[in-house]
Amino acid sequence: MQFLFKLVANKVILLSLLTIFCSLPQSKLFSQQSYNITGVVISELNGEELIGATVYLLDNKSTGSVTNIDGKYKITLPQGKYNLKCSYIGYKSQEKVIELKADSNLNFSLEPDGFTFDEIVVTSRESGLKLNDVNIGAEKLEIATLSKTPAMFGEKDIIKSIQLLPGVKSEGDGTTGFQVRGGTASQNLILLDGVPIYNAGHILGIFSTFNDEMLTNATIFKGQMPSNLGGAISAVLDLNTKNGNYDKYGLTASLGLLSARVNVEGPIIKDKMSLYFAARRSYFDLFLKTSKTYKDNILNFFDVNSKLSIDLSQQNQLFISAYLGHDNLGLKDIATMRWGNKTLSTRWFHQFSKNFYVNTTGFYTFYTSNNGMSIMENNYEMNGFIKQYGGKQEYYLKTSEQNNFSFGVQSNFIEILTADWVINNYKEKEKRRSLSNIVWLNDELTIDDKLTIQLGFRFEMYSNLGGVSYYDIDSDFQITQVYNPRFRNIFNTYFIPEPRISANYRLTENQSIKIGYNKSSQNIHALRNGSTSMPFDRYTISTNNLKPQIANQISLGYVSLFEEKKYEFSTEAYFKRTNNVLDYRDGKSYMSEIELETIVLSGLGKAYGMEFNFKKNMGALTGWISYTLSWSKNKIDGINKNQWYHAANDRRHDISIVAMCEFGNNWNIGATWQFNTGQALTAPSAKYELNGNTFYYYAERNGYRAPNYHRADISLNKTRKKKNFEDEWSFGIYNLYNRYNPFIIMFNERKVEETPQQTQAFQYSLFGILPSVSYTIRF
Amino acid sequence: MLITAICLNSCKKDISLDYNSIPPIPVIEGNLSNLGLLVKITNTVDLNKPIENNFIEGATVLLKSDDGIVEQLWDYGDGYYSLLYNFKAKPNVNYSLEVIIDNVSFKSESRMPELAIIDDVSFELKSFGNVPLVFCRLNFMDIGGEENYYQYIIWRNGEVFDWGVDTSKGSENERIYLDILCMNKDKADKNDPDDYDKIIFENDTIDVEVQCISRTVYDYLYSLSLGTMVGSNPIPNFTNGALGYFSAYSTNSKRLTFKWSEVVGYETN
Repeated sequence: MQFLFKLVANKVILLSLLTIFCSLPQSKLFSQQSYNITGVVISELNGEELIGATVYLLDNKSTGSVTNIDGKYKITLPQGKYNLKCSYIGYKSQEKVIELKADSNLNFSLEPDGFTFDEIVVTSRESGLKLNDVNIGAEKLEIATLSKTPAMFGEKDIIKSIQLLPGVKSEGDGTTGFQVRGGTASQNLILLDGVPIYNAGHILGIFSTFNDEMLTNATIFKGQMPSNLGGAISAVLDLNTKNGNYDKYGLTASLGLLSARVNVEGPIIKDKMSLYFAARRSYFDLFLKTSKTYKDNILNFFDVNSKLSIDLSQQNQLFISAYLGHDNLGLKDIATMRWGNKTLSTRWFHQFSKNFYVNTTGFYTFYTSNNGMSIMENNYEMNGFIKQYGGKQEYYLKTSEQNNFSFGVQSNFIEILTADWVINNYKEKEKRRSLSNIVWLNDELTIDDKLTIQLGFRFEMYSNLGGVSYYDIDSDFQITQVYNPRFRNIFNTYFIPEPRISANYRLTENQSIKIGYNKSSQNIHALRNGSTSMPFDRYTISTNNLKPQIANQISLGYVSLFEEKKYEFSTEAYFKRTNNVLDYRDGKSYMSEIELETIVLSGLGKAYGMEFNFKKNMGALTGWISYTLSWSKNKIDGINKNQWYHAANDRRHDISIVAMCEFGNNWNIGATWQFNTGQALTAPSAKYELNGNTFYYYAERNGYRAPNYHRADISLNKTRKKKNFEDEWSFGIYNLYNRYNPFIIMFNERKVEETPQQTQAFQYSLFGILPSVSYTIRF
Repeated sequence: MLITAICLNSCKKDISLDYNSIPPIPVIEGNLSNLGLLVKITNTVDLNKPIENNFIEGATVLLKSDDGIVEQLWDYGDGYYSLLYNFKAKPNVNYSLEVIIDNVSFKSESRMPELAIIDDVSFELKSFGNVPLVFCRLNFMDIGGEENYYQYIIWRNGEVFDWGVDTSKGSENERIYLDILCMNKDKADKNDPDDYDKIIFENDTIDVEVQCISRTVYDYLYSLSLGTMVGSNPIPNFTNGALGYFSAYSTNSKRLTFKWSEVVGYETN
């Protein structure tokens, strides 16, 4: 019997309390004789704030500051005349003189040093930062200017790029899903400006839903993460979008083989308010209409990003971001498949002092999928959605040079339509609702010049809400009792503590070792229907029957720089144990029952492995080689005779080689090669006949291996800079040597007259060799 | 078609797998209906062998019912078991089948539903996009009450051509219409021997059978039909790990001779 109690009694008002705390008067931290120099450092190319740029006195390099997440810095100095220098990797340094008589503003606009186009490029966290970073397993992806990686159909793609990093694996062709350290794609959380995005792939995974022109940076946390992040037991990919240029207008247009896009940015109020707007749409459906064969096909997608940035004052900034993405596939009058995300977020940045600031965010996200089919007089529909909205406050306080303390609160309301099925006049649906309240704190403590420790704690109170039906199920998966709690009542609650600790120890100036322990949980679950980016996954949340997925991970790492930081070697080992991982029962698929909790089982998972990365950071030729050795297994009562079995995403060896080379006058070439040994595969071990048909018997789940996967891609880019515009031609070849890699593997009986009937396995491959060309122009 | 539009270079090819060999597992196919009783018992075979000579003889097969029937089936050879007289099952009676092989017992139960009479069967040709497809249109009256479960079988010249299961969901106490995709007319026109098992030819004898089955049999057959799509075995219908099912069902069928000229929409296509 579930225990019901009133939601009213459980209302969390931490957000309100902290808001009150925010509004308390600030103490005067500095003497009357000193003045503040504040400003923002931006890229001259696109007006984007540069995070981590250094601003310091030319004649006293120890006095200075580093720009924060919004590209802002602050230096406090006595009255006088100063010569300041601003530096940032990949940009030309800039010097400015200031006569300081009062609090002053001094902005820097840095010119890129070298290539003039910003492209999505995978660069592991900048060498020095990676050496020092206490977050083991974190990789930062720069939208940098230095080099380029090949991409499918000429579309640079952040998701495709991160799949080249050690410990990050592609699910395969036809998806933008990625797997991290034994986890599945559904155990990752993707945040766009702090807002969750689901099913982040456009048609057949050719594109991710993220327009790379709109992105400024991304960080992937492979298990070990700071306490402000959670909600995923495998990885969190944190993407940030650009601010519009506060100073001047810009226009970028790009035409590829399958899609076109346009980006507009500029000031609405000079130096106070700016807008960035980006839109992309596929256009190959226009060609389909001219084809007699494909004229009835519907096949298009679009995505739109916009961001309004407002400088309210030197201490206050407001950012409003919106995203709309939509895919539409179908066959006229017969079948439709539509899915997409809508998000809206508002972030208010307030700086109390040089060392104390807060971000307050409100967000809304809505993912929908609508599939329909009409055959003869029968109509079928399958719909689902995830609706989520909430708010959070995050405080960052630097109490001393050795201590960075942060804390925050968050509340999320989630409503999920796990399925809404319509069969002619018959309708049935299943909904779930929840409220989660989270408090977290994080402390990064520098003990001495060698040892840095990060301590974190995250606590979530997760509750299922009424207004929808819940049920008990017995050992035969039959529903034994149904509950209909009222809308404002709490039906079921989980308390989830998540301690986290990590440490970085500098062995020498260029070597460090890291160790970390991380506990994380996940309450939104996706039951996948194959590894594709099509809208057939079913989503649900933790309930009385499905407990939160909990992962405990320990990891150990080593980083070394040598030859004046020209080369970098890093390796990490990890072991992860997961509770309540989900898998389908034998004989059940995503559409077997509307009551999703009756078709799945939960149990244990474990994953372990090692990642190696050797990287060349500088010179005309840059790139890296990464190798991952890994295992991933599950043990779920009721599956595989209750024995441990390889997870569906288990594969032993993964290798990525990335090379980027610049030559001649603004030419560059990029090449990648990826290899992995076969993914776990469930194949039959015997066959039998029933009703005149042949069927297969599966002795072991995922007991076989698919054929190895390997592929080479190459791209060639030519950039030109004219007086009023810049442009770029990009040529690429995907799958250079036309390797047919496995996409789907099936079995049937071969009927050859001369030989006995034998079972034959065959594979479908998705993409052979694909050449591409795209053109981009910027004003 | 949609996928083809994008994947211009997609392809299909054979691959080799080193299949594991496992000890044989009994497969029981127990059919009990208003027309008679027949049980077939075979073994699974390795994937690199043909399915032949895999029947099990000498098993003890017992049929029981909650209206007092207790019968041991006769071994007719070649894996077939039945009674020495034509036993016909009755609706709304629970039946159980026990098979004993090498002192291991396998049991299953099934309750026979009422009979659902087929009203009409026809074929219709309709193009989807530019693909002409032939459907078998079948309708019958639901037997009423709560959700009911049906299996349809299309026999072509006495052999199973297609089968599937469905429920009365959404049509309880109403007429149930099933549109069963039978073949692609383009393939029929092409007449490739590799496609012969997917083509109905002019003058073929077609029997369309509708069985009203129990929930447990529906669960078994539905999960069986998912096949390699989900890569798992069907929900067990017998105890102790035997494959197969025991179904007590009511059945009727309609026979027609396939003629293109009688296919609705043939002239207009």
